[in-house]
Amino acid sequence: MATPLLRVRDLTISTAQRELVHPLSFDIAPGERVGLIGESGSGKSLTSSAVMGLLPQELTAGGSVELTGEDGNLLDRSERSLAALRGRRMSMVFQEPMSALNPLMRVGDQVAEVMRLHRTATGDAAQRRAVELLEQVQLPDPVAAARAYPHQLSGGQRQRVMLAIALANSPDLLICDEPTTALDVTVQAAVLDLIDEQVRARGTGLLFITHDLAVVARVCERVLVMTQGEVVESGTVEQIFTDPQHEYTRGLLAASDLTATDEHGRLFTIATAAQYPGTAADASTSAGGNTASGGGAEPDGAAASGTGPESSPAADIPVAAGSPAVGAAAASAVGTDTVAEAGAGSDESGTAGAADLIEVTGLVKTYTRRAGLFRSHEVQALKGIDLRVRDGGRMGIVGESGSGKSTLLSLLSGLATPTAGRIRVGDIVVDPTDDRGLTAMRRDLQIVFQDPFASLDPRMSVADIIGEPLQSQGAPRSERLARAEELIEAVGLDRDSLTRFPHQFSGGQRQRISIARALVTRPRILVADEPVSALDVSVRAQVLNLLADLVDEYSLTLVFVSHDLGVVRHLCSDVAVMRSGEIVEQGPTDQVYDDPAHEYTRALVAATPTLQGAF
Amino acid sequence: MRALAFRLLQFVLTVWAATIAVFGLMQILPGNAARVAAGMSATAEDVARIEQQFGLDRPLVVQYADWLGGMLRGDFGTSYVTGAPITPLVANSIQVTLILVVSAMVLALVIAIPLGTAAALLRGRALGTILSGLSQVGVAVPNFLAGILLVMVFSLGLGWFPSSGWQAPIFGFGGFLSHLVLPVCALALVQAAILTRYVRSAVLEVMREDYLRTARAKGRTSGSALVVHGLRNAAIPVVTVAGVQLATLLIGAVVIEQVFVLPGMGSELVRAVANRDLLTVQAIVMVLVFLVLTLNLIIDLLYSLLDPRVRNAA
Amino acid sequence: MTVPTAPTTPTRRRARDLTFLVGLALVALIVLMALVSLVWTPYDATTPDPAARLQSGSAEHPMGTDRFGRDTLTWIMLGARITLLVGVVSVGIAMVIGVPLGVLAGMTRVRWLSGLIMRGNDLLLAFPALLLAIVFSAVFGAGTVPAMIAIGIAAIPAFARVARSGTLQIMSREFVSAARSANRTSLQIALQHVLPNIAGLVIVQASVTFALSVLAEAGLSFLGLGTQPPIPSWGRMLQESQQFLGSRPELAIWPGLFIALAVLGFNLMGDGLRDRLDPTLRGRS
Repeated sequence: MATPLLRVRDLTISTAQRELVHPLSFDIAPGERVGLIGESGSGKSLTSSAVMGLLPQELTAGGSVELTGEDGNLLDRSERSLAALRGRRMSMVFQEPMSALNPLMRVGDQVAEVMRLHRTATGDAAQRRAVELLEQVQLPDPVAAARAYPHQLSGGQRQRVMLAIALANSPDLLICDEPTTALDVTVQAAVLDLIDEQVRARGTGLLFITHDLAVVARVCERVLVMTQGEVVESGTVEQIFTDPQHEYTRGLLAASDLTATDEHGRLFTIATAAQYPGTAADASTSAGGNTASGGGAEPDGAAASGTGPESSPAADIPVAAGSPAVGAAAASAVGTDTVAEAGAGSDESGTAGAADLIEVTGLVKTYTRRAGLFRSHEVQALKGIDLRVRDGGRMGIVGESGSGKSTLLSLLSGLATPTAGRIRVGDIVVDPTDDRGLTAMRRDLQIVFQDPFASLDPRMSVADIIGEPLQSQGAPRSERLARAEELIEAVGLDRDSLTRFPHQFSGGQRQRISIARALVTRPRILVADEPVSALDVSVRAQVLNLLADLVDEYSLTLVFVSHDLGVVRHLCSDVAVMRSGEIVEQGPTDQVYDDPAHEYTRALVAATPTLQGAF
Repeated sequence: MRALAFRLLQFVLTVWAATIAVFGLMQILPGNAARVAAGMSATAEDVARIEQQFGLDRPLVVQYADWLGGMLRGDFGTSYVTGAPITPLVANSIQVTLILVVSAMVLALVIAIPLGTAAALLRGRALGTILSGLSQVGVAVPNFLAGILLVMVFSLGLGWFPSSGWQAPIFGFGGFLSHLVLPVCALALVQAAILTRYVRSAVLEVMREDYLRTARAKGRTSGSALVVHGLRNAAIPVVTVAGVQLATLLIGAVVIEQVFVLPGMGSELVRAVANRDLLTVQAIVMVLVFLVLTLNLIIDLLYSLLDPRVRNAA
Repeated sequence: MTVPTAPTTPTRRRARDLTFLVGLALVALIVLMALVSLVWTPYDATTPDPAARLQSGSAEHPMGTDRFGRDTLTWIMLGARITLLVGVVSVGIAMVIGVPLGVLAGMTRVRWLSGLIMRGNDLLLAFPALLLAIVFSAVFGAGTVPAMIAIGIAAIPAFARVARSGTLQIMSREFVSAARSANRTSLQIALQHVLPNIAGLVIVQASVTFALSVLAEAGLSFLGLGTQPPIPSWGRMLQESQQFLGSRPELAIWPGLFIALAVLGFNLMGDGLRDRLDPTLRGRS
């Protein structure tokens, strides 16, 4: 590495009040692909913005950023002279494909603009070149795409357009800020391949910002790990994945690995990461096994628990041996096993109707969308779904956006009326017009929602939120409060939380509150709608472990909806794969994952980035 | 195209509903029109005579159909009070009002767009704060007060412009303009203050958009990103507001015409109300409502012209 | 994981608090004048004093007198009453009718019902407050009561729109789905989740509408179609001042100033409140 392409020294970013990014240094060699990984609030996006000179006005950057071939520190340059570099020598792809393009301008013009600006192509030539670029990023019909407006393209297509814009002038450095986070798994895989291919072909240096370790392994050679405004570790992908030095890196790696579990069958968290055997270990043997390569478990675990991102005292529940919560969980796990054995006869085939707690037959849902006064067209969200969940079963429902999984959930919980078909929960047939039936059904079936920020009413206290389902059952206030106290402790928050309001909690804590609310009626069935998709990796592991503990402790039947195959595999015994309103495949989780029968399942499994697949 | 047809149909239906509303409102007090027109000292026979003369003794539905049919032919009927046809009166006064409103709106936009953009760009600095403070004060001044103040300074004080009256352009364009300046300014200044605030917030909103950051990442300076990508996006909410404000301006003109003694629809409306000439009131109100609805329609169409998302929606 | 947008700096917070406080102070001034006028005014409002006609400001008459020798300060104080009365009643009418309609339109799944409400709203929007008030004065005769009612009715659409868009936003949030799956009825959801969460928006709208109704009442009285003599009103004072513009401009300036201050006060209060309340509805604060 003689002359680095990008040389960052002692970069700091601060508001008027405090420093958000602490002195930070790194290099990127020409053509090198570097990943910058970190959780939300780590400062990784700010770092990339500072390099591009795109920090918001309220923030100031210190230190130095040098680009080879340019004189001096880029941070000292004027907006005008920085602008001359942006789009030509360095360019950027952002996270949100929906809002990053000008809605009023044709796509082709937006691509051509970047060439006209830097006079690398002019007039019709720029327009022609734009179509070529759109073809290179593999848009299906580049000529039509050039004429389209952004809203006429899908998220994945827009991200390809962004990439075409970024690559138009063959920059030396490409910065990608979470470019695939908002995309479906299969689309993500295609876009990642495209970035990889284009960057390699052009010899472009890459700074790839993401929270997802598996994604970084797919496109990068070297990784920087960032937390709380500091780079705590850097090294080649292999070094970081096989021999992480910093405890945060180890924790992140352990928490990201959904195939590895501790001796209680729970995911590793940052607190228990010391016992994590590493990604090199084979997934099947690591389950339950504790071939501690890290060693010296106890002191490390204790030290690490303080640095978790949910740093408020109530946040972390280390699932370490000896803690009462785990003791209970372990004890009840034995109980569940016996239940499972009792129902084992039904495990053999899907014919044992008596044991099925949920039975969905021939479910169809059609939405009528109005277009004008007299015209309307129908959208089939569900095209005939058959699904059975046995008592005590853990059913995972996997699908990408538009697969109909959300519609299935709202029908299951009686929030919408099916067009055809039947849903039975216990011995109640779900019918949104039958109030009494719904009341009884909802005592048995409760939901944990996806978005921890939207699922709690900001104007209600936590006690009122948790007690709300009991309110409709006419429970007196004292009983509601007693149950809320019981459950807030069950989900690992302290009692003081009850008098506080949702905005005083972190995302993971809110999700715990949401779970407490769902369990307050003592339901038999817990439906979880993408409950961890909005959470950081380290928090995700904690919430998943909590869910697993509670399912065991309360002998719940679980219906778990997710776009994330890894999460479902870890948590569920059975899985149904959905696409465009249909279940394309269902069966025991291991069977479906290891030997998928349907091509879509195969594609989905192949597209899902895993830590093991990194090498 | 289908969306356009749908919008036009909606417009026609709304106008029709408005005719019923206006007609119905005037009939809330039964027999009111004739009794009012006949005057305080009228006997029962006088009232009956007027009722018969103007067909007010017929069923309401017939009266309504008659009125609606007349309007479709461009005939608003004959005043019960003055006995004169209403149509020429509306036709003459509408010109004055429209000239007033349209020039005020153009002037207001010419002032508000640069000022609002500047206020947004200078947010947090002294000049930006002064600009938004001024616009905040301007919004609080009723236009008739602005008119009175302008008369005090530029007419009674400096003697630059006449304080009242109207001169049609055919009798001399200079006189036409000098009579127009103060009333137009009175309407426009207040309007400009309102629009400045909307322009400012629209520009601020756009400045937060991701695509402006994209434009900068492509190599535009923040200024040129705003001009090339921001302003057209900011225009969308401003156009919507300007449409609503045109309606406000139209009603504001009613008062301003009183201040400057201009022979517009407002003066005619106030005179008709004072004379309790209900059929004339009905006609002028209907014309004003029709203008408001037409303005809304034009704004909607303009909106879909500006925004491809709306254009392609149907 | 995106770049944070303009964090609320202490300076910004101080600015919006200042906005709100200035607005509050102006409104308090008007309210205070109205309250004092209930028990005390410098002079009797209706008794003419031929000896003190058209005086400019002095110790006895701080704001001067009008053409009948009546004390302007007294009239300004009494005018505050009418201004506030019209504002309170018209905002009350608009809020009580508009908010439930808007919430209903936002919550109902019966499409024609929400369509009907919103089309009715559009129709009403074609009748600006002042126009509707003029029509009312033509039909029912000029006076404060028809004026208040007309201004109130004309402001219904504003409240209905704000309530509906706020309701739609709240209804799309997961906590409403959670409440529904917790078996809460629509009425309970409306009262427990929707109303508390849109209350801020409604309060801001009330403040802005109050300012608009002050303007409308003043305009109407200026035209002679609002509050009738002998009840003092700022708009009519302004109208009567017109013939003395050359000689006694303060006759126009005092009522004009107070109209502007009242409008400014309610607008500033609304703006300050809006800035303070907005993040809670946008969420993720």
